[in-house]
This record gives sequence, C-alpha cells and structure tokens, in this order.
Amino acid sequence: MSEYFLEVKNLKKHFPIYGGVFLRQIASVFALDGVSFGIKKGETIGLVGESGCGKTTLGRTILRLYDPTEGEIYFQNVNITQLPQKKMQSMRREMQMIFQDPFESLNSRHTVRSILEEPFIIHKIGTHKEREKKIDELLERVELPSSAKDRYPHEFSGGQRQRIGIARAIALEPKLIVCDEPVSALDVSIQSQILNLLLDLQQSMGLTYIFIAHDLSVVKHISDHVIVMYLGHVVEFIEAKIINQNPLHPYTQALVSAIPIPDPTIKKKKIILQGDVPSPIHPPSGCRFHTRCPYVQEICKNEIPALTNHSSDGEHLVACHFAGEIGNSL
Amino acid sequence: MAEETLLEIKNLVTAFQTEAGTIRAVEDVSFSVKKGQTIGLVGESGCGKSVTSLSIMRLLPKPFGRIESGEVLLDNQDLLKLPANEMQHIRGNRISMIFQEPMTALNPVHRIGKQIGEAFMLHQPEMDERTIYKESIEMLRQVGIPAPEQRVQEYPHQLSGGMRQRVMIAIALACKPDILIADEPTTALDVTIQAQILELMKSLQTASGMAIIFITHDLGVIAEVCDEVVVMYAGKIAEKAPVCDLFQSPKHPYTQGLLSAIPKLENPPKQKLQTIEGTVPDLMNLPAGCRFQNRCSYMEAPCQSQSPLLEKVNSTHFVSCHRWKEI
Repeated sequence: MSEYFLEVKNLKKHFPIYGGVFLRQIASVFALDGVSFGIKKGETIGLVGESGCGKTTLGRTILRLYDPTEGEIYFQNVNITQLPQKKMQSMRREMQMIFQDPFESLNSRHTVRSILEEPFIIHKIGTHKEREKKIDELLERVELPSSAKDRYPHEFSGGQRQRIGIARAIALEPKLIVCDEPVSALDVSIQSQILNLLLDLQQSMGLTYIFIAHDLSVVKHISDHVIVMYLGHVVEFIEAKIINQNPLHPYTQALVSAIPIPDPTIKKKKIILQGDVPSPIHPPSGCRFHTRCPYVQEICKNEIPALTNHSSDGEHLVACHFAGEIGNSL
Repeated sequence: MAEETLLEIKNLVTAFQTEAGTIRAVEDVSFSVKKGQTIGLVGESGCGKSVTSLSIMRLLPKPFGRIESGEVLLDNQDLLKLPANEMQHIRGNRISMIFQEPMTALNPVHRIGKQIGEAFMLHQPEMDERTIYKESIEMLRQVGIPAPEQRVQEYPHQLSGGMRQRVMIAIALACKPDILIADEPTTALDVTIQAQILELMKSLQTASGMAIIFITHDLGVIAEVCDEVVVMYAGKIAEKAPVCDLFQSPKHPYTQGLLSAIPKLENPPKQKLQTIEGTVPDLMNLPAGCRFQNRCSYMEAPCQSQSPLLEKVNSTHFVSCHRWKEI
C-alpha cells in the first residue's frame, strides 16, 4: 500500500510525427519524458510551466485521455495504466476535469440542464426526478440560480460558464479533479471568485486537485505542493509556501522573479532568461534547461540531472547538478 | 522628463450601432499623455480600454463604430477632424500601435522583411528599396532578434511567439513614432518571455523618448512599467492617478477591490481571496447613477440616481465616486 492517493511513476508520452512519402513516423514530440510524483488525499498539486512544457499532457494522461507511452499511474493503489476502456469509464466517475475555455467546453446547443444531466445518464444514475433534484443541488453549490437550468451557455458570462463547467465536473462526486487552467481566461475580479469556490468545494467534498496553470501566483495560492515543469521534465517539486523564498532550480528562480509584482515601490532585480523554450521535438541533451541557464557548466550539457531531495524535513526535490550551490538572489 | 503634453484626449464618447440599439462603449474619457511617459489603461474585458485606443487611431470598425463627441489633440491639433489622408500620415509616423495576438496581426504569407518594409513604404514614400531593406534589418537588430539578415527572409510561422511580438514592435517603431499604443502586448506570452518584452520596450523608450499608452488587465505589469494609470470600468474612468498613489492609496472601491483580488506571491497558500461580487453590468442596460453600484459595498442612495463626476483628490489624483472621502 502506498501512502499516495494518486501516484505517477516514470510517465512518458511521446506523440509521433508522420511524414515523408509513405507517412512513416519521422520524429516524436517528447511531451512527457519520465515524470514521477505522488499526491495525498485532499491535497492540491499545482503544475506550472511555460507553454509546451507538458503540463496539460500530464493532466490528460493521468485521466487516460491520452494513453501513456511508458510508465505507470496508480489511482487509489489501482494500476490504471492498462485498464480497458470499459473499466476506465467507471473509474472516471471518480476523476473529472475542468477545462480552460468555458466557451468551448460547453456544448452551445444544449441547455444547462442537459449539460448537467449528461454525466448521470452516461453512468446510469438515478431516475429523471432524482436527476432533476441533483441538478438543483449542483447549481446551488456553484452559486448559480436554479433558473439557469433552461438557459443556454451563451447567455452566461465567462465566470458563470466556468461555474457550469465546475458543476458538471463535481456532478458524480469525484475524488480527483484535474483543473486545466480554469481561471486563465477570466478577469481578475472573476478569477478570485472561482478560486474561492474551488477552495470551498475542496473542503466540503474532500477533493484532490491537480491544478494546471501558467501563473505562479495563482498556483501558489491554491496548492499545497507545486511541480515546476520544463520541456517534459519535472525540474522542481516544492512546498507551495516556500516557492517564493527558497526555489532551488534556476528555472523556478527565473519564473518567480519574472512575475510582475502589483506594487510599484518594489523594484526587484529580475533574472531575465535569454531565448525561447526549445522545441520538444529536438530537446537539448543533458539538462533540458541548459540552453537558457545562466549557470550552465560542461556537465549540464551531457548528463540529465536526477531529482534529488534537498530538504531535511519534508520533500523538496530538485533536478539540477548544482542545486543549493547556485545564487538565490531572491 | 519633459512635462510637455503630447496627446490630450478630451471627453471622448464612442458608440457602437448594434442590432439591439446603440451602446456607448466609451463615455466621457479624458486623459493626457506627456512626452516620454508611460500611461497605463487598465480594466476588465469590455471596459472600453481597447475601444479608447482604436478611437485615438481612428481605426474603429466601420460603419458600426462611431466617435460621437470629444477631441483627440495631438500637439493641439484635433485628430478627429483631420481628413483621412492626413490621418494616414499621422498613423505610423506619429502614433503607432501593437496588438495582443502577434500571429493574427502579422500576415502569414509575406516575409518578415516585406512586412516591416511596408511600414516605410506607406509612411515614408521617399525611401528607396535598398534603404528600406537595410532599415528593416536594422529595426530587427534593435528589437533584439538574433541573425536579422536571415530573419528578414523568414515567414511569421517560423518564429516563436516572443519573436513575433518583437517583429510587431519593430514594425510599429519603424517610423520612429512619438506615441506607441500597446494593446495587451504581453498577454499571450509566457512570463519569462513577457519579462523580455517589457525590458525591451523600456529600453527602446529610454533610447527614443517616445510615450507609451499601455493597455492591459494585469495590475502587476502596470506597476512595473507605468508612470500614470487610468482605471476604467464599464466605459468610464473610475480612477486616474500616478502609479505609486494608485497602488498605495486607491480611492475608488473598484480599484481597491481589484488590488485585493489578486493572488500575491508573498501570501501563504490556501487562503480565501477577497472578491468583488457579481459581474460587470451589460452596456445595453446600464443602471442609472454609478455603474459600479451593483457590486459596491459602499453603495448609498445617491449612487443609484446620480452619476459620479471625476473629482480631484489632489493635483494628480482623480476619482469618480460619491463617497471617496469616507471610504
């Protein structure tokens, strides 16, 4: 028995690229390249990283929306990596997803009632009357009026639509929810409402979240632990509360320092990374970050650094040859 | 910094004709831009910040968008009264603009060099082809694109998001404008790339002394780059102040709400955020009186009937709220 509610071991997902005259596989996108971590029940893990770092792929592979190329996923100590589709479907009652764009993830031709009823129909739960009652409860939970039932998604604002998406995700009382950038399309004042709602639901329903976002301050706000990803690798696994004080990987340090602080009196020195994220089709050798790292040494170009613990109490894993030695100017 | 007013917007009202009737996306907006200054326009979606900038450039979608009244004075000359061909000369040479999504703003079927060259051809027709080519390469070098001699020959899809935004900046700055309007230039970019672009814009500003009107919804970016801030809500100015004043002593309940609603990196995790309840009112049926009343915790009887005017807090700080003295 593992202590983790969800455990991911050496997960890899490579997307093939076909080309040439015979459409043979000519290359692969290394979206996930050996990711391991564990979540305890009721915790939130934040996944951050720049576009193309594999955070969405990780979220989707955990739910088996993509089949992993290699590695294992344990959900409540059950290995779900090879589970057949039928069994996986009943498993999905317990694992749900909230999507980024509430404009595209809701069917615009369905009323809110049929959107929220669908999970019950798919999993053959309850009579029509019971479902109706459930839908009322769900709407109340996400603070929408019950008159919303007969309206269509386009009649709602972005924040309200995201609430409908959340209601659909919690309909079957899941245990794990993967939130894929649930607030990045929303305005600041609406974003805070949704974050508060997610925190409330976690407390009342005992949910475990995987929270994907590119905004480090949002991720820190909602998470217990944060995983920082770069080009399909985990570069740092860190407790959320110390991410701004003691990040050890140079990439995390740069991410933290690049966030604009809403206070004009603070003039911090920024670490400005040169260049762009390399392509995941031809990832750099050795440490993936070496092309942009200000502390790069010869060893970084040849050897992939392993994730090692750098904390006496609790877990703080860093994948850097020089973790702890390099300047923490924050 | 010279205290010379370059651009002045006075009582601008912009309306859109829709099937359901006329909506006023911008109402009674006034502010001025000084030489070398960066002014931030901040607000949520639909608050009228982009429409304000399109009105200044006279690029409103025709025939639906229309400037109803007001003045846009550039060196005391009203741009709204200029004939179209003279306005064309102002765009690019005096005021130019960069947009949020660099992929949609660049033409995918033309090489980068041609697109930069186009700015020269349109706005400085006296230049010959060879100079244009040389200048284009020079512009790419200035915005920090490596190997500009090769990049001019490439197409937009061959560049990354950050590089494309650099190209957009190069096009906008090609004719050395006095004012640059940047409409959410970093919203589509990752934080580390955003940091690069903001740094680039600052250094170009120091070198050329241009003024920047920076439109964004990100208060963090505002705090970092702006000298003065205009906070807009539902088409009107809620508050206008120098950046330090605004962040240290915000007077309008909306500004206060916005500032406390941002998750801050130094706060401990898993805490409840303060929120502004409700949503922005529909511009089609605005309430009488203050537009923020339905979300404001300080709402009183006069807020429901009278529109608050922009009142003076001190010589540089203005707020549009009936009760700013008490809250």
